[in-house]
Amino acid sequence: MEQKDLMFMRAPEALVEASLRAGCQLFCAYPITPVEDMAEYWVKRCGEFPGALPHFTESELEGGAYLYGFAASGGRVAFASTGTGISLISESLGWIMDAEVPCVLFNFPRAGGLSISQADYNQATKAPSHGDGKCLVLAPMGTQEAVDLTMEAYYLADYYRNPVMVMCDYTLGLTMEVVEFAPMKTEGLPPKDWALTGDRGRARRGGLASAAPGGVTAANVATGVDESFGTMSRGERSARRRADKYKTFPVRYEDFFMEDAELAVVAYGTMARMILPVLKQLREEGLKVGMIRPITLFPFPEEHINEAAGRLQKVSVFECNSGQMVEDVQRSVNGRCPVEFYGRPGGAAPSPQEIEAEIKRLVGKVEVPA
Amino acid sequence: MTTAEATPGKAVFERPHVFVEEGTPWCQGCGYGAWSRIIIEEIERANPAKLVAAADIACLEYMHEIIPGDITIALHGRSVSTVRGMKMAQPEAMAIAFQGDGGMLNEGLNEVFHAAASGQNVIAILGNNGVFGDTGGQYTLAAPLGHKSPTTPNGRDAKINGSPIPLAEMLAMIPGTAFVGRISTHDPAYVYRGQRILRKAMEASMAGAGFVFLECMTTCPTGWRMTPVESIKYHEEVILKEKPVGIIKDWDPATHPAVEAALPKLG
Repeated sequence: MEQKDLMFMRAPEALVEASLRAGCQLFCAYPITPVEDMAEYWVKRCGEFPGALPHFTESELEGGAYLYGFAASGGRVAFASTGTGISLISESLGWIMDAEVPCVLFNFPRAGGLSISQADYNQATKAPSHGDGKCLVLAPMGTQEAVDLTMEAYYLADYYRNPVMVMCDYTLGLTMEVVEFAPMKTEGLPPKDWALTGDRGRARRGGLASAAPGGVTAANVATGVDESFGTMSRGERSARRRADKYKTFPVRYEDFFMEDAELAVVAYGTMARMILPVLKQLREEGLKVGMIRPITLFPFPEEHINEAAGRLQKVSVFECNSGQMVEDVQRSVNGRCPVEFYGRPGGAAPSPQEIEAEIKRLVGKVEVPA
Repeated sequence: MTTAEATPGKAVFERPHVFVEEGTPWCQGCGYGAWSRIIIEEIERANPAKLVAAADIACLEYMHEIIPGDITIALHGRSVSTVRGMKMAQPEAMAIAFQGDGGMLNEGLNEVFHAAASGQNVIAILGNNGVFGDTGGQYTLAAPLGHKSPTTPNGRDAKINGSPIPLAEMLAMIPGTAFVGRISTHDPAYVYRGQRILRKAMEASMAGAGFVFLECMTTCPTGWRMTPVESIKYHEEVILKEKPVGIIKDWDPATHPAVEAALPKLG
């Protein structure tokens, strides 16, 4: 197998390459731009990775079922789509989170057409499905970070037995860059002794999920179904344990020029990448502006933003939507300073000049007509 | 039903050991108990080293109480796809999906066709009673015309409710299917015949034949609002008239080579 560690490639293909190197065995991708490139790249390349299956997923609904079945039986699996596809597998995701089965999701949110969008922030972070479940959501700013986070997503999924979403966007889906592939970290991963391997030779035991009904005679049972169990239902016990698990998910963020900043912009993904050069230029002009970039959208870097807000005069949230992450920022700032919002919904993206004008307006340098 | 303790000599009839003492988990008079019993007997006869299974949310989810292997409850309509995922991860396992007619014909119809087209070596079992039994007997797309249910109070009318879908016959047309059969277990003669059809289905799957489909015609006295005796009469006179039991497509290795190696047996 040819192991090139440095490649010049499009982001969707780079994420598939990273998946193959991370030991992903089944990649569920139904054609929707830019995900068809991932399906094509997987089929072209998977033969070089032992254990990787050339299966092409017939539909998103089946992709959701494969995610559950394949992962429940001990395989490593990923699903890729845009927000619409995440909507389609939403029911399965609820089941997967309840049963605590690991998998990785790639999301390329799009607006109405083929353009940048962050309109699926709430879907990813608040309500990936019915029920109380949460996905760990990672938001890369560029192709290299997307590759690194992909490698890590497989680790985190297995470690927490939970879906991990790599939240890209359409612009990243069309980006082509040089990327480097490092080996995947596997230290500390527990054996999948919960997996439904089908092995009839071993002793009968409880099952995959703690939500499984008790006292059954089947060798292993996995289900999201509740059953009364003592004073607290088994369902409640298991939901409480999962809620505690979500609190242990790692929080990650990146600060830019925050040491002496008076105004902080909060942005993630490609939006943060668009803001960064403008920020550098404004710093050279002497404006005390910085940026906080959440890398994990769930869990959200609440404490860090709250702590920073105590030193700031103002926070402004920049998003390519009508205002979604701003609610998380308001919650995090919790009244410690004013929170403003600059949004470009419907597939629009700001030009560097527009970003500059908005930041200057926020610091009171330039008055921009509304 | 258990072998008498005092009787010396060889046991000629026993309840499958995986059946819980209370019996089957379904309503009294339900037809599922009879065919689930022969399925377990045939699993034990085929004796695969590995068994993965999925059963839909609904009546058949109680399969998890009796299946001698690893089973998960799948989302309604998603058992066939879920078990395909399980089978991909555990290629040496016998893989069985249990779905009712609501889950398979209403909710997950495209998925059973895709599974059949794929030719993957999984067994899809349709427990067909024509109604959503778990929720009170509303008609499914499998119900015969004229069938009275809470959602077809005047009988199923093709103009309003569409016509029944002949799923087994349609699946038999797909090249990927290795075996398609239909059984009923409402009386001992049918149980005897059904078990032999089921055995052929299991043997085909153990030999790696490919997609196997078995439709188990079942009474649902609770959902049909009948006594068990009335339901058997209705089953024979109405349901089975349109859906005769038998092998609809037999596996012929000469024309349909096995898609994978024979599955390993336990021990």
